[in-house]
Amino acid sequence: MAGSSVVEPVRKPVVLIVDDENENLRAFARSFRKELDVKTASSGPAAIDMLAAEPVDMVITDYTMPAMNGVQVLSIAAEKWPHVKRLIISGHTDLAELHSAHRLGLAAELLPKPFRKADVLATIERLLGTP
Amino acid sequence: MTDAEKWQRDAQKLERSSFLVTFILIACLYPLWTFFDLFTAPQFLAEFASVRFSIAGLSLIAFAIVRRTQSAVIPRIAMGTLVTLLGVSVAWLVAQVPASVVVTYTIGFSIVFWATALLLVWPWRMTVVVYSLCLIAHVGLWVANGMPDPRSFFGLFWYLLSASFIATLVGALRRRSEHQKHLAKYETEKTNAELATALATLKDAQERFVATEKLQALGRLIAQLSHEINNPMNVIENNVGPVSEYLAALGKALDIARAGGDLEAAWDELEIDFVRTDMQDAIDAMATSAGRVRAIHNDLRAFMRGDTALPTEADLNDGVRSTIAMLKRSVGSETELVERYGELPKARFHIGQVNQVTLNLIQNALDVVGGAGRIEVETAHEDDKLVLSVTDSGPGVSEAARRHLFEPFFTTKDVGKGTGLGLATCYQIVRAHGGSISLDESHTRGARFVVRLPLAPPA
Repeated sequence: MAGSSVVEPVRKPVVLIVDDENENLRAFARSFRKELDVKTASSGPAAIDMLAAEPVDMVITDYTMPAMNGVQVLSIAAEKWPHVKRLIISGHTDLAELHSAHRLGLAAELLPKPFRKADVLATIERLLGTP
Repeated sequence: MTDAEKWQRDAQKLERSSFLVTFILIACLYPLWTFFDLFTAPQFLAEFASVRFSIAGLSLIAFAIVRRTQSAVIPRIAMGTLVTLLGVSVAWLVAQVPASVVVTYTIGFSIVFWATALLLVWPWRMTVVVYSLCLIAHVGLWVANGMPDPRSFFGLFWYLLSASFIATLVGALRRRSEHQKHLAKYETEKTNAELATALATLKDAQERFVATEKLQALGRLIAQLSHEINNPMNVIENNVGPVSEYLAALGKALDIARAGGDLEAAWDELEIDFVRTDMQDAIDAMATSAGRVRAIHNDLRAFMRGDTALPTEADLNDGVRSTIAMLKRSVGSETELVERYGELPKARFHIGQVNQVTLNLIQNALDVVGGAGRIEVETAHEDDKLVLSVTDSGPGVSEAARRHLFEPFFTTKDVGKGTGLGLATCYQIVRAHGGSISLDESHTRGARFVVRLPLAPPA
């Protein structure tokens, strides 16, 4: 019905970002606060807890982290919450483990670090199919 | 068996056979000479035979001794003459040979016999000289005896001919033996030259190893550092966007205020309160990140500073500190890196090279503990040496690996993880400084590498 359209507030994608560096988490949240509903976790186990506790559309994790690396986080996520889209970020995009994770479908994409906001948004849009 | 060894063996074989041929031929000639005596002096047959055989018997013994002793030519001649005189004396006692027979035959015979024996050790050309002298001596003796019977002259001449025949054969054998020896010598020299070339090539390759290892180590370091720089870079890039948005919001608020608009209404829409606090946070985060990049740069510069062509007066502790400062960031929280610095005098060394040794040893220790463990780096001053030790809490070095630790291309790491040049390079560098590097055998838990450097490198 024309004229009476109430613009539905578009639900922002919920993205969980995992990185052991707090400054990175804060910068990411700050940078994407308008486009995404950013949740943060500063370690692999914390990310798993958060996935279990809250509905999340996508998890983006750093690769190099103590205790549990990014690929380990994604393999748990893939097993328990297969609907959650998975992305991995690393400064070492030439690592064999990252490529095999990508090949196995554990990570939908590999993003280099540092990344550009526009690239990340384009990838999220492509994976989630939302503007 | 190499060619040189083969030729050497052939030469020895020929040497042996030349002696054998001499004895066989002389043995064959004896009955022949005796037969000849039947025609020249049948009345002295028994005397001649006894003279010959007693000289020959004793001479054979002397011959064997001569061969064995390898003494000089003059003592051999002296001994030969002595033995011959002994033979003559024995013959004299046994058969009461007339003096003329003894003089004409036994002296001539002993000259021929001993000349042949000596030819075995003399050069081939001596044959001509010796037999010419023998001929002159015999002609002289025959003339001196009043030219008794022409047949006795031909008898002596016959001795000379047969002895010449022996000497010719022996000489030919000896020449072949000399040739083989020469070949063996040539082959040995050739092998030595090849070895020298191989050694030079090896040395050259070793120098290249060091250069390659340095690049490898630097490559690894750069990879680590680039990762270290990535994080602050990421923070800066992610904050630049928001800060410029905040600036735009603040600008818009200023425009509204200047135009006398409703700033109060726009305040919440523009999130001015949030913008003001968060912008400061974002700028602080960027400043911190820039500081991290600067710190990495400073450490790298401190590490590279010592890379000079000549040894300089330097402090080992400074080098170790700058190396650790650079590595520390990539050390995980579960690895404990303990530093202990002793009181060290200044010393002359290539600080850049020694830093590389420190870097390699600590990198190895980090690899060995695999993300969780304890590494101790210690410096000390012992006598006239600087001591650097790196101890790790890893599994230690196996007995088999110990023997090859410092060899190029030996590695216990997985394929693609280690070049096997790290410790080999450490060894090269430390040796070039006149120092030593070793694995502390007495240390049982984990591995402990100890580097000892003199206070000044060898000139």
